[in-house]
Amino acid sequence: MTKTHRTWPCRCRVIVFLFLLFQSSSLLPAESPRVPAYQRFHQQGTQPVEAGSLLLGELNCTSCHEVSDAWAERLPVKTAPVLDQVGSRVRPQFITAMLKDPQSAKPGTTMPDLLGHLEPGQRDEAIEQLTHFLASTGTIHDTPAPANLVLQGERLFHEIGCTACHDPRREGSEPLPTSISLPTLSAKYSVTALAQFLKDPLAIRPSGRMPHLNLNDGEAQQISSYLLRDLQLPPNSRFAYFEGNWQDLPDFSTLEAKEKGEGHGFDLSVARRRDQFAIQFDGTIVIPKDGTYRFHLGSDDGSRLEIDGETVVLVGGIHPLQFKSADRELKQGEHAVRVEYFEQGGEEVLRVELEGNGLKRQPLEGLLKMPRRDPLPGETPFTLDLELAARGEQLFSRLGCASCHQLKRDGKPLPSQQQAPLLSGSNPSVGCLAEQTGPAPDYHLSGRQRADLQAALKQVAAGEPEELSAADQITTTMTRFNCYACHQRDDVGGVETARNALFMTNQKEMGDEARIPPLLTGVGSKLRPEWMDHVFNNGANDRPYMFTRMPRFQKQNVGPLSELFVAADKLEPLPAVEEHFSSRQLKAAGRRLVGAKGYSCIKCHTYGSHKASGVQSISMTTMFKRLDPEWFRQYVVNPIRFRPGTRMPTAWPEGQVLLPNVLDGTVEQQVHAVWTFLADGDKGAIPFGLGGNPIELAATDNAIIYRNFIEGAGSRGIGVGYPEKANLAFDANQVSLAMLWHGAFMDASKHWNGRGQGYQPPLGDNVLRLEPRPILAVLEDAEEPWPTGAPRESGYRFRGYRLADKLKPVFRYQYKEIQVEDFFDPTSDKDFTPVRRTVQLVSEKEVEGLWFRVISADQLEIKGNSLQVDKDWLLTVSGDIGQRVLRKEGNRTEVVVPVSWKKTAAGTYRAEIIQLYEW
Amino acid sequence: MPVFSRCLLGLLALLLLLVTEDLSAQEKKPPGEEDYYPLLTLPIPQGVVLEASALEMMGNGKLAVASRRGDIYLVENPLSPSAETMKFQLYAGGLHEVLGLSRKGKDLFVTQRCEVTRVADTNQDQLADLFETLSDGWGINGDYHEYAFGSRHDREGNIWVVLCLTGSFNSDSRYRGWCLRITPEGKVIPTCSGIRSPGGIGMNTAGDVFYTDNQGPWNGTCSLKHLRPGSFQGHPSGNRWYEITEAIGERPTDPSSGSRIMTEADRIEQFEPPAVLFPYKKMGQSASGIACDTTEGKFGPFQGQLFVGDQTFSTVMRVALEKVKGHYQGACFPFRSGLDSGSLSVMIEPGGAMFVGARTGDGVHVVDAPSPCSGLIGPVRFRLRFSMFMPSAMVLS
Repeated sequence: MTKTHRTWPCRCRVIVFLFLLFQSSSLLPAESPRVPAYQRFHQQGTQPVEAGSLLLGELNCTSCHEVSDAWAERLPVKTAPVLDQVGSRVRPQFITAMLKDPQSAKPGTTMPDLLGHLEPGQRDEAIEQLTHFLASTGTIHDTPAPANLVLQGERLFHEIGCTACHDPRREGSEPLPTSISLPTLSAKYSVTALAQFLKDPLAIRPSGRMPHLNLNDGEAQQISSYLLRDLQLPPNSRFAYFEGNWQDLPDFSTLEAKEKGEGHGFDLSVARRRDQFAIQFDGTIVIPKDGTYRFHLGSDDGSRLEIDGETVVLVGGIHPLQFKSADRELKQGEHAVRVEYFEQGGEEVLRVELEGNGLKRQPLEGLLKMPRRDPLPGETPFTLDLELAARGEQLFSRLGCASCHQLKRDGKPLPSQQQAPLLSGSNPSVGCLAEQTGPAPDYHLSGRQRADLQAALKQVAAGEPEELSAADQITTTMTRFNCYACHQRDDVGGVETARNALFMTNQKEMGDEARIPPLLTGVGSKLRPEWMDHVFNNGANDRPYMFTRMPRFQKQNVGPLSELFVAADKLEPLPAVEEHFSSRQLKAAGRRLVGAKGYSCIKCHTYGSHKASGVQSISMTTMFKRLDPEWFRQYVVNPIRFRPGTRMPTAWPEGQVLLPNVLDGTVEQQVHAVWTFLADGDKGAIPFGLGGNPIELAATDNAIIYRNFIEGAGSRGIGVGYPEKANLAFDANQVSLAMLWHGAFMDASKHWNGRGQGYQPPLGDNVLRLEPRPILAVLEDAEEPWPTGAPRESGYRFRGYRLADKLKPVFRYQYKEIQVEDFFDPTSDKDFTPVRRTVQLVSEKEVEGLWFRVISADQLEIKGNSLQVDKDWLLTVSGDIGQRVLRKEGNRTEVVVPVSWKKTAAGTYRAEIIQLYEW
Repeated sequence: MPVFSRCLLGLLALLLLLVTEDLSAQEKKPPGEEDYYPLLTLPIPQGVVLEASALEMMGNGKLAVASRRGDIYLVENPLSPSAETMKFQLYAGGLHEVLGLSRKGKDLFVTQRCEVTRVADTNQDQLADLFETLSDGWGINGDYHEYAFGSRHDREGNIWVVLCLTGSFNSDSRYRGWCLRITPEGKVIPTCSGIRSPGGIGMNTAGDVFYTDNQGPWNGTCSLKHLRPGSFQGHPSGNRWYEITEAIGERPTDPSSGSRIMTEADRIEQFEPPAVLFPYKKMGQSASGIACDTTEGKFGPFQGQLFVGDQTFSTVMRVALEKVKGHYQGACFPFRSGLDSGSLSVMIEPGGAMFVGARTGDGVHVVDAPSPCSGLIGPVRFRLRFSMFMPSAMVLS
């Protein structure tokens, strides 16, 4: 049997100190397992069955004691941490301490002592073997906690919601009985390991009791640095410090050091002054495997990196921070590294980094090992013994660790050989629940916990569970996941008084709504179930002003919570809204209503990246995807009914309509319009009063023309704004009408402020986009398809326009020998006015086989003289035309009419065709 | 380099007057440009944003000023010494970046980004009411660089249009990088290739047409180039359009990068070398409009010479040309600096006043939004002390 030793690079004084700490804490009265909601709601003993059921899940009882499927569903468990690579996360010394006395190593832990029944000698042996086994799954890489991250980490820890479940750690903070207590974290984790855990706690603790806070790498590193700021590591480099005035790196062999010493990494703070000094660092790096690595050296001023006596990168001379890089092939194992640096004046920076062969670019300090030396007195480095580890592996299965902890070997979890009685048949006075647990796991249960568990077990023994109401199921789930730490529902839970000040905002003007997580009373009628599931799986950040984050718990953990909310909170629906307007008209009205010229929702609500002018409340672009339509309808007319104390006013106080000219002036249609507008989410048109400094072009007495790049009307777009607030864009490339819309005309700021590039969409609403294809064609017969391709190819020439009354343009173009005049005129000055189009044709010859194309659309319905297009708008055609022909054009229906020429007294031929657009 | 940035254009007039005055008062200080050619800035009425991108004299003595925002104003009494008698009137609007005006009879022929348009006032109410497309025979796609500069009518009645490339390197739309002639009937005659980024176009007294091209790929510095029909002006990106026209023959060989202009001119038959290269950052940085002195001495002793604006330096340069073996060559001279507002369009009216359509600001291509009032410049007047430049200046021309 071979015996492999692996030495731990960085144990020492700090560890010795920690052992003393464990010793002393073991003298305190032993804690019982802590479950926050149990602590908060079950200290009176009024609901022993509920309390016991909660503990059955949180103590993971059913991992050993089998239950029926129905009970398993009723008692979802908090699984134990995944131990697959625990050796790379947790220090072996901590593992030992945890095995020796869980409640001392981590007060309040739900991990039981499994080894209490062993003789003291046997017990120590088992603990040693298990420690070696668990430590064999990985290696801890220690780096010091960067001091510059600590402050940010402290801020985050106390702002984003950690302190909803954990004790605040600022000076003067009192421990709270409802907190999950934390062990001395520097005794357990390295900075990197804790940061990794914080970034994705669900990977290690999949049951979601420690939820995922959507931390980015930097934030995880900051919080980890804060929590481990007491971590003291032994020096892993030597330095020699020199003073002098150099223009380039000096020859260090000729210099005499002012000071020599040990330090950490390549730390310039050992210098005694800011300018005119030089430092030589020495250390040993441990390369994990054979391969090519890229070294990056950056400094202000010069520096040199040497590995095994050879220069790898040289950044000579005096300069601001400058990087150079080089590749070097290195064998696995130890290599001598030397870094030389000099500073003439100004800023001083030194960065030594490596990447490659599977490693991300990182500081080389992370691979530094202390140069070989004698151990310090009292230092007990951990040395991995594979033989002990192999025996530990067997114990892991035999003692029942594997019943709760997943630990995969070769992709398969180790099995547990522990056998426990069925939960329904277990004797509540022996085993885990007895005063003396004997060979059974010892949870250090309190007397009340024991009693509650016994009460719950009686229910389990009595048969299958009774059905719970949706409300009770919600309470159970919110209890398990400690949702009540932040949220109140039906007068239960909510932020505890002692923690209230820890919930903060940057929008104090908004009051508690800005800082206290939302009330969940009635949430099942407010939020769409799919949005709730989205939040469970992704967390939420829809209230950027609220510092506390809604973390991820995972749908698989919280189960059917969204459906339960919906079932419990259903609202009595109002009668359905009658559809009097097209969706485009509703959107146009909705946009107007939320904007500065309407009810000014934009004063307090942001709109995507557009800031509100007052407080920066939740973005309007998120409302449609989050909110239930029925709830929205009822909420906006009476917010206080749903959110007591809210500062949200209603735009329709007591059912009054302050803008009676919008739509039909009813509350119902206006609310419907706002909702329809919000349905566009972040693709909606920006409400009036937000965004940039538009140069709004507007027709007052006369029509106004804007020739430019118009989105939807091409590079030769001709926009026309009419005083009646109808607008159109003609595409001169396609010689055809491209768009009609209502309201505001165009914003010229893009073209006039910039270099004139890019396409500008209409500024107004209710945009009707038409297929930009010419309206006339000579066809062989009614079967011949309408010509495609560039109009120029089929005989069209754009000829400009003349201005008629009120400067309204008459577009002029030519098709073969036919001169066309195409004129548009709004028929009223009311909202959403129709537009009449008059097409006049003149020709010397009677052009035969001339057809006029009325429309081509997905859906057409004949309504009297008119066509209803796409169930949305009306088109009426009249004038010198023959019988209407409906024909197929791909999947669409095309309507064409033959043109009937009229001979004039002068011998020329004329025809007039009129189309009325009502949209 | 784009000739138009979005700074406001002011309108400056360089006005030459013959004055006889007693010089004794100023004997101590040698006279400078401002003593010969004082500046006068037209008083622009409030509310008018003039980005004076093209200039033309109407038959009735009114000055037509086009703006980059697409308006055309008529200025009554533009040479009046007093602001009160000068009158601005909006004549037409809604056009797409006007960079060329040419009057024929009572009509204005307007070159805008998208087309050459005949603009007329058919009912004589002082407001244009007819916008007739003469030609839209080129492509545009929404790129900022795709400008179109139009000349005045040539002797045959054609308008010459120089079309900027798509960006600096590409020709994504039809005839980008070409010069087209538009006949009175609206026919398109492809005339030259090889254009990069024009800043202005104009004619000399012989009727030959020149344009300014700007520093950038294939153009080491800004230059004045002769649009000899059939010629290639040096930037090969637009040469793909030889595929669709035979008007100027075969596609020329592409020039070799890193070579020299005269080497390439010897090698490539169609290559027309620049008539004048403006020393970069010495004479200017973005050459713009071109005017020819046809005043027979009313503007000074420069009959037949060309005057070229520079946007960045806010100057007007003078160019003297001669034709040697069929190709133009010549020299450039500083003429008038201190316009302080970026010179764009340049025109000399028959009475001997030079108008410079200028943008305001610090004379560089800026990306900031313009301040709305910076377009208003107070009047300055040019005065010429005729006797002072007689001996040396005359010899040069």
